[in-house]
Amino acid sequence: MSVSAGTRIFHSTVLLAFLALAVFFPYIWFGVVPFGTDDVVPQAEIDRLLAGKNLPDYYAEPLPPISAEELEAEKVAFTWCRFCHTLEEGGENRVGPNLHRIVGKPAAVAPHFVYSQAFIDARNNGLVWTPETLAAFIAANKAVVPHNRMRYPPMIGFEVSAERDRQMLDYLLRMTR
Amino acid sequence: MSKQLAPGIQDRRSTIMGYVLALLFFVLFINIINLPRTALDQRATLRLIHDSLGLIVLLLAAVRLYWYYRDPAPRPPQGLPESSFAFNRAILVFLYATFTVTGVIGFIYAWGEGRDIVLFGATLPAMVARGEAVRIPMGYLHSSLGFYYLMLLSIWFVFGFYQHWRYKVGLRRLLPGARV
Repeated sequence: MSVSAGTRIFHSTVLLAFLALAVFFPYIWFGVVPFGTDDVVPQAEIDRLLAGKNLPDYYAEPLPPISAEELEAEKVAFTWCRFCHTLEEGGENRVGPNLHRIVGKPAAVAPHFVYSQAFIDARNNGLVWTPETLAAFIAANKAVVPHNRMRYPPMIGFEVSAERDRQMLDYLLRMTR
Repeated sequence: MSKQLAPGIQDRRSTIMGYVLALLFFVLFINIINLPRTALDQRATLRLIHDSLGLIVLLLAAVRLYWYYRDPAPRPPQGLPESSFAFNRAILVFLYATFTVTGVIGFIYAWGEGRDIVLFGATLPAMVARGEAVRIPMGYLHSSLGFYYLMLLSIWFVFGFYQHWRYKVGLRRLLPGARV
């Protein structure tokens, strides 16, 4: 083929421009960023954010027992969440932050996770995760923290229901203690 | 690439390679979009399949790239300008190169995550240490290249339909086994 070097460069430039666009897609689609951070919110700051809230220790009391079938149903309800979040102590941040012992903490304090400005503002404005605020967030996350990057529902056609939300919250409380 | 082959159907070797790569890509695509909706304790099986098929794609795409540079370039179908035909071939080269690079990055990502790569029962020795500085950017890049495949394939078909509309060169050439 006798194609000029200029044509070849043009073709490559067009295809590389699409590659440059593709680099932004995980951020646009999943809200994930390609780097971590050394930032850790100091315990003194967490204490300040919780001062005056008089919150109980949500993990001190055991939860009411449920059947194996109910626990399995909760686990299924939480399946998609586990793609982005770990629940175990010391679990890594993935697309979303590690959620170990999240209940009773201020928003956006998981160590080394790159939070959106929306979440940082929510934290600074006093958002603390309680069963009530988490329930509201699961039901309508963009209403509770406008412009946050969490993609939930995760896909078109995903069936959201109050029962599923309840199961997810209960599973979160059980598995993050 | 000074010699040129006649336009038309590819040899059996290239045709089989094209269909095998297309099939493996389709299986990998189905595999990865099913990962989030699969129970946590079954995801390891899907990853095992993903890693093994990914390695095959990596190797086959590398061979295909080698053939591309080794073999003489075909002539464009009658009526299709050479510059337009060259863009078809550029898309294919980028696609195969991306298959290769994505596989390498995928393995680095898995090692950065501290995950063993088991290929057909054999565990590959980790060549990269576990660490967030590797896991996070490599995972992001692996995902980016997944989106890039879809873009390249979209460009491939949109441009192919445009060429057929403009130059009446047929649509069969968009499938494996034709000399683009």
